Amino acid sequence: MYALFSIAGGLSTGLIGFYLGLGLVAIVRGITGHDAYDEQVSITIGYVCGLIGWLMGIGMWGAWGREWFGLRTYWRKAPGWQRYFTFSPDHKVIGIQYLVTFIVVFLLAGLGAMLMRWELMESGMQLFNHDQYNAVMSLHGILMVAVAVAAVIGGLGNYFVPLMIGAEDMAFPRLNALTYWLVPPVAAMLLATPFLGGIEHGWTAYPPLSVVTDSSQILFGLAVITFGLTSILGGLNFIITIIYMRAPGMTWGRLPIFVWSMFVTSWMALLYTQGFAVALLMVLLDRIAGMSFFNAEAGGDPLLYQHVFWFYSHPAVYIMVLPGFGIALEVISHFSRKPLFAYRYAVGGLLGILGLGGVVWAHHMFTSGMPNYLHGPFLVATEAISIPTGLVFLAALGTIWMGRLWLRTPMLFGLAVIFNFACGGVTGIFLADVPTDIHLQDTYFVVAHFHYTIVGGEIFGLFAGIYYWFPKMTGRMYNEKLAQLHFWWMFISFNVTFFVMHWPGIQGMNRRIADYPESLENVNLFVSISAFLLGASFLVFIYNMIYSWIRGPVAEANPWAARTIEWQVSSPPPVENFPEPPVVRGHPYDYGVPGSVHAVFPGAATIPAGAGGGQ
Amino acid sequence: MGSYRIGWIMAVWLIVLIFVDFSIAQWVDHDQLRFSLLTIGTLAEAIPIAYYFMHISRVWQGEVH
Amino acid sequence: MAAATHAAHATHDSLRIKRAGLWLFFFSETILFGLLMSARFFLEGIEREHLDQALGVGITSILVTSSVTAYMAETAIEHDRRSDAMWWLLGTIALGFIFAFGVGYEWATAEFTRHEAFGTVFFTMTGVHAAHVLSGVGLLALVAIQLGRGRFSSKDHWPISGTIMYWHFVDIVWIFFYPTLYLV
Ligand SMILES: [Cu+2]
Repeated sequence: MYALFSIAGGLSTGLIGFYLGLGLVAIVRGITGHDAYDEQVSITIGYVCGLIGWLMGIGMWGAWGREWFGLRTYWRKAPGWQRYFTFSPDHKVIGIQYLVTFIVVFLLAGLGAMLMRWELMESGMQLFNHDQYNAVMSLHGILMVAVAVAAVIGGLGNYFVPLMIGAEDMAFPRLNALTYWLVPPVAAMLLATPFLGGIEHGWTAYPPLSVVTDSSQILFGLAVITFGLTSILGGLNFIITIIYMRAPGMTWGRLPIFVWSMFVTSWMALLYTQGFAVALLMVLLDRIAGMSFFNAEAGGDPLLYQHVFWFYSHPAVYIMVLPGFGIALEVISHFSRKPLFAYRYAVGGLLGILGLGGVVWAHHMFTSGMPNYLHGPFLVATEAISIPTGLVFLAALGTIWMGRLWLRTPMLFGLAVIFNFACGGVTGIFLADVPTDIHLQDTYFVVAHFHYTIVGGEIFGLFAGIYYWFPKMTGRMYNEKLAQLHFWWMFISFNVTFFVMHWPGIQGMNRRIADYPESLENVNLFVSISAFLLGASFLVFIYNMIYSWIRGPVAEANPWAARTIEWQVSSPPPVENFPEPPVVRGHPYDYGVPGSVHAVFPGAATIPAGAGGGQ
Repeated sequence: MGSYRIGWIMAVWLIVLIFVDFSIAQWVDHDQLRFSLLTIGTLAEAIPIAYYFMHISRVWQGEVH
Repeated sequence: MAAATHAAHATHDSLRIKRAGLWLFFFSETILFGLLMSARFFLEGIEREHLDQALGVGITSILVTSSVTAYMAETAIEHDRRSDAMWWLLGTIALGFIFAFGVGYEWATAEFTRHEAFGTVFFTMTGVHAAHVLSGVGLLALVAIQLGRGRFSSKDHWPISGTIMYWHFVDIVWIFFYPTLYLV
């Protein structure tokens, strides 16, 4: 069993590294006259050494590390499905690795949400005590943030960006594999937090609580810093790929909109992710080295954390949602059989969000005690972001207008992205305005708002993308009836859950607290039941995916008659992507424009069907 | 200009600037002025390093051989 | 014919891609160091604590000199002068070590502790930077070993160039950190 061998190799070198790290700490501490084992220091050093061991063991040593010492590199080549368990440089393998991993994480985190809603069905404490509730809530938060940051970018982005720009692979294939194999330790660390007492501080990890809470915080911090590395290196790889690896003729004006959204997102990941990592590094140093970044007694300032943290975590919402926009625009154009309306304005909108996204972070801090003169500028900047976002919506609506809508599942999800995000945008205005925000801050109104934007905008986009590209990735077709059942079930229960959730928020029900006044019991029971229905809808999805991947009917190369390049190769694409390199001649979305061609394969004997795509 | 000569000229330039910065810090008492002068001095070191030592222009001009 | 030119383009491109990727990495690291610098100004304004000024200017000169020697090493290998390049590389490594010892000495003799605010930012900034210096020394040692084994020539020296670019970057970071901590 090759897969087993690969994983076991990584695990054992990882464990060896971990214990070497513990030993190192013990020796150094022993020499300097301390106890040999200190939970926080030992875990930190052990984790760093273990992480290096794990990466080397999983295959990075052979494929990359040997080169640093002037040795010949080699790849472990595994057959069939087993290659998903190796350090593989193929962007298609890495895409599937990301996608499957993060769908599993998504379901686990969703289970956490179900437990929370169970606890919130009645006021008073039933299922959990307060600490356990905090642990579940925090784990749900950080796992879902991880899913939102990496599922679309790492999964669909890795798989389809090189295909859509006509490249053989990403610019740095080994770096790409490295970013994926950093993810399992992150997941393992986060899932281990309940065994060290559970995270109490939500995914935001504000000090002073995060400095004084129990040592599961160390696991959280290390996991998030590692995950930041994944995000930054992944973003770097996408930027270079999109700049340098485009097929001849693929000018910036002909780039598919999903690739544009990935380009903008990657810049955000590259520029801002350090904020979260540095913020948690400071917490880590306060904890294990006794430093005073956030200790006001010694001259530190907890507000510093919020600035550094939100410097990343506001742009993070664009890292999450822009790829969702990209997918939505992509499928809306293909399934309206019309050219994408106002393509240039949509690209301008994405770039505008990139520009403005970095200067609005303090709208999360209106009640945190920062100087009052900062309120106005951040209010205005935040509201101004609706202008570029509006351009993206303009493109979507203009494309739908008078289109021949083909309401297959991907299109339904794409349209839902537009609808949901519009709802989330409207409630965002109340949170961006200081007077209303002071009332709504830290209530379920905020929870409802960001679920509308992130789940409604990105996770719906993720499903649009999964259904849209499922035949390309697996070579098989999903079951359309089940898929539509999944869509309507998820769409209706999602909207009911989170629309109603605004109400207890306006009534002042605080988020992140396991208990609430009895007067809000009915509405919470309603939200809970609706949330359970939402959770159940994913069972349909899982069944459909697993069954169709194994038993589904064999898909054609281009079942949607789409024009973009990824559909012009076989399903699934060959290892080298393009037997003959493509040359781009025209715009990707010119449906119905007579005589227009997007890409051709000059070396191939015959031009594949669908390259014209005139209909 | 020979590549080695660039190295020697840069060496002199950087060392001189370090001592200029150092002197500014010792003798300029006005806070904002000192801060601005130091910023300029720092950039005057960093930009030539990026240009001459790190060959930043090769990113857009391609390799020269 | 078409395939041949394609391949030639590919190797040329691949160097360009590596160079651009490294620059993006520096860009990203710049934000990391920039955030640490902002933390220093956020907590302490432009107040400055008493530090050993002679030591500060000394280690700064040493690190900047090491950047010059690193440049000389790269220039030498571009002209196929292997043994010159080797000596310049070894000189760079030695200067890097001296710098690291200087920082260590500063740490040992500092008049403040890490528990107070200035100590917090001072030890964090110099610590993160010193970690980069030491990793740079490690990388320089790796390429020096390969150079000693007869790899690299004027046609093929990307690992040397990349490592030296990293070294210059770490130097630039210090050029910003030095006034931030010692002079402002
Ligand atoms: Cu925000």
